[in-house]
Amino acid sequence: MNKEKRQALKISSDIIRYFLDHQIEQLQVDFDFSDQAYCVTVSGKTAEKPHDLEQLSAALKDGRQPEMDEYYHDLLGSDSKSQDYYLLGAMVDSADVGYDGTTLTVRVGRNRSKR
Amino acid sequence: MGCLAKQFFKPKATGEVDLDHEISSFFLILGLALMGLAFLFNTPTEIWTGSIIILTSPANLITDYFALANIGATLMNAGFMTLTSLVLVRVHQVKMTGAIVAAIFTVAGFSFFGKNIYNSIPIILGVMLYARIVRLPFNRFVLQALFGTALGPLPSEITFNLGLPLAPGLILGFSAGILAGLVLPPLSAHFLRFHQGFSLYNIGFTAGIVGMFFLAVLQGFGIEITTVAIVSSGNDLVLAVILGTLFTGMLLFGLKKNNWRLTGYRQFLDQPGKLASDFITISGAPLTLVNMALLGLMATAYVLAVGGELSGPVIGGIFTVVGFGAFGKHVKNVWPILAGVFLGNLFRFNDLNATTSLLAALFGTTLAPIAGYYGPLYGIVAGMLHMAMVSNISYLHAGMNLYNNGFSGGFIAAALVPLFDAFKQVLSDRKETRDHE
Repeated sequence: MNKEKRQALKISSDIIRYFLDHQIEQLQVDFDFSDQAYCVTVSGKTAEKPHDLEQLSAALKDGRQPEMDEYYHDLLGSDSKSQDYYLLGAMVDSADVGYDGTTLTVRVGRNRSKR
Repeated sequence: MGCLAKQFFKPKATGEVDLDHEISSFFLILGLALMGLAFLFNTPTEIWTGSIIILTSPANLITDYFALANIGATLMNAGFMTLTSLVLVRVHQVKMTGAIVAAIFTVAGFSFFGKNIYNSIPIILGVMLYARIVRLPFNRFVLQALFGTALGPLPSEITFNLGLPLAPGLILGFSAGILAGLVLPPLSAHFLRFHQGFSLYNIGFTAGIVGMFFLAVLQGFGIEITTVAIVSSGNDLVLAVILGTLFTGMLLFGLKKNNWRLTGYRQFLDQPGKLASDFITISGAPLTLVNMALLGLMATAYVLAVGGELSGPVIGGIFTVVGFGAFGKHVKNVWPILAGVFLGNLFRFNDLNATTSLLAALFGTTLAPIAGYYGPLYGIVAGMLHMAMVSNISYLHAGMNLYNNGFSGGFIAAALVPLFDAFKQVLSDRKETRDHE
């Protein structure tokens, strides 16, 4: 598995961790991996909006930071002890977080060709 | 573009550009101020002569440039290195994040005892070479390049302390520095997993390992390198006034930018501070500046309260604590480490006001995330263990890794985090069982 795919796996894992941490345990994961970019979309049903959804959204939309990306990427993943998602935000180019009253959806995208 | 819809992208906001400019201006003023202060202490001739002494010294731990050369030359060196780091960051268009602020402050701090332009250039070139080999832009590796100058004594030691003629010394020293810089990026990323981000000076651990290998090779050739103890004393009053003025100025400016309020600081202090907590991004620049200033005042007060001297290495430690006030440290997760080192010294590991004890306290705050994540008692335990450990590992790299406390902190965090996890899990399981009954 190449480095970019490992990175994608860690990003997915961190998003899934958010859902599990909020007791959302029935999930749909959509993974779209192309030559230029990839997107991960995770959605799950929940009757209650997570209390920290705004913080998650703000953290994910702060913009990619290449120097953080290259150095700290190994701290992402399912065994991460991070209590915020700013590192995840530093790894992605785009993010969309939505809750429609029944379904929580988090979608992030990362441009592979960004140099 | 693939799955990345155009509307997804968040363009760089005007505010971010302004913030980059403001932080750059801060470092520009800091660098120029340090250089300007040099002339209050020494004449231009003394500064020049002192600078030559600094540039041609072996520079391994602990070489206090105040004692080796003079205060003026040291301040000139620190100011110049601050400006050089700033130029490196700006030229490569790197965003001014908490990590970058921590890195520049760390370079500035260690320029009081070990870093200089001669021994930093080869490390940075090595990191640049690595970027070229992996075909990625250098701006992705700026953090490793700046922090990586921890291995500065390696080129200096080889060039100036092995008894080699100048030309071969320069070539060998420079080559060793480039080689060290070349291996730092992959190793530093890898070693994060060792301590799971609970030691903030991750490059210190990496540089300790790299320094250990280099020392083994040098010893294989029959070359003996040992740590030194060149430390200044007797400059407390004037240096305390300078530090007090700097940190008070930062505090007032931060408060002014935060509308003279501490709104949000309680939430700020609730952050564990584990890598990679960029406080500027999370809590904003004004509160971060307040936090940095409070840490600076707290660290300076600790040193003076235990009867310590404000020597070059101690000022380096204070600067590093202040820098990491933007990237993981705050007063709530730092005090338990200071308390742990203090208590460790009461058990006679060392004298409270000895330079090594002061450095262990200041740089031991690399373990602040342990206190932030698990709680103050756990932080105190980490601080005590750090005090015991740090005195026993510098021989592994003979002082060629300036971040010896980061080296120790990596081991402490790697050992304690799984233990604390297991302990907390047991407590949590027992509580759950009791609640269930």
